[in-house]
Amino acid sequence: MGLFRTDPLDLSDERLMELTVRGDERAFTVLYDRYQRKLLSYFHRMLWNDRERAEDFLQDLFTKIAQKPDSYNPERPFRTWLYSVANNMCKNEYRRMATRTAAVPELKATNNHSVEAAGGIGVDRERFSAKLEVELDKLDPDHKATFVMRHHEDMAIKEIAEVFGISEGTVKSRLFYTVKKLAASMPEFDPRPKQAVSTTGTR
Amino acid sequence: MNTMERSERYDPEDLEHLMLERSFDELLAEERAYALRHLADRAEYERMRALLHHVREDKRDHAPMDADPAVREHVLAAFRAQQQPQWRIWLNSVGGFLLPSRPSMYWRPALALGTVAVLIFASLMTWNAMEPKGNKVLAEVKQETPAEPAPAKPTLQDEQAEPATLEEHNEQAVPRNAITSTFSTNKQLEDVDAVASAGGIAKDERAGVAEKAKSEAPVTTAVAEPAATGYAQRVEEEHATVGSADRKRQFKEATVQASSPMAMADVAETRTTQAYTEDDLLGLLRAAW
Repeated sequence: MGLFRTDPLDLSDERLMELTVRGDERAFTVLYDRYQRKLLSYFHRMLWNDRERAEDFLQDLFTKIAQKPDSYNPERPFRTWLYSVANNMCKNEYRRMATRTAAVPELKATNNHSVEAAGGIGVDRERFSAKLEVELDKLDPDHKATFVMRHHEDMAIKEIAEVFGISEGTVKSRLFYTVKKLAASMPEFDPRPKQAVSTTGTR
Repeated sequence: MNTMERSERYDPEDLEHLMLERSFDELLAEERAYALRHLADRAEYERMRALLHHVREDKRDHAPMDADPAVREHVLAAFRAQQQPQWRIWLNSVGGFLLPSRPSMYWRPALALGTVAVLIFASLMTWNAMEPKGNKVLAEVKQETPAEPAPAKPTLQDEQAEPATLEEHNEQAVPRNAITSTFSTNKQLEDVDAVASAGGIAKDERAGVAEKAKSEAPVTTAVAEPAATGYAQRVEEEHATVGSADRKRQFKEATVQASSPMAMADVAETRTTQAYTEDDLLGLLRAAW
């Protein structure tokens, strides 16, 4: 029997999840190892760069899978199912934070990062990162999630569409207008000389 | 026509690719036309292009994050706990109940449950003590009654006329509708005998009452007469040997209920006699006092 045993690392996500439902701990471990970095990064970006909170969410997500592996629908790709669960968790957190900030306005200040101008390339990147985070927080949660999945998690349009349960065209449109809006709100990071910007802008 | 085909071929995703690959100046005329269909001007194209580049660099700068090993341990522990057999989990809960970490928590519930248990036990004991003993007496009567050996070849007439014991008599008399009148006569005789023995009426008086009862019985069958004559003696013997005062009283009351109005009158008369005697005794006692 051991002759036919394959390495779980070579198995697809769906097959590993099938084994997890049957109680295979090794399969579950492989799934965790395969996705923990990506999901931690996703939670980190979605939850205001709060690492502790991101780890808590990662733990909650995999604990849910461990406790209720039957909740996975085998007809769906595991990756999109996993991200849809993660996205729903983030949305719930946004709602909870909105309620809290409405009750205690001081909490809002802790989530809003102020971006100050500074010199140097390295510092400029840090500034951009901070500013991008601020501007992403201003967006609709679905638009923000779409942008993060596309540009930070390198997910295909089709996968994003499956995560949200929408058409690919809607995802493309959503991405296009998100980038357009972000670009309009962050003109200070336009690398072209101000003179050129003014001349081309008036053309 | 050519423009239509191009517009179908491009979409915002392609525009994103174009932005990442080439600047506005490097675009072909067709691509530029397509970009300008979606964007206001060249400046917007360049701003968006710059943003996408910054995002890429930003992503490159971010080193991949690894979760804390404690998270992994916790998640795997949750998985193992879920895979544990249910009966083992149930046993754990039983163990936790029997060996609590904080026994003081069980103090009040235990006291309440103990009180309820004592109350239930006490009420059951009281109920048992107050239960009427009629059934027990009946059982004792059945047990005490000696089983007389049946005669060698009893005739049908003997069997119907003279039951060996009181119980047999009752068993024979109750279900048979044909000898109801005889039964009532027998009952009258029994009443008379019983009352006479209890109240102290003379035997000749008893005989007179018996004769009266016989003559006044509404229907007397041929089978009933030997029963009427012999049964009174048998009852008297049985009362003398076996029966106690309680048994006599019970039997008398049962008989009075089933007897005719005449017998009821007789019994009432004898009861009055008995009551008079008791009153006398009470009067004597008072006087002595």
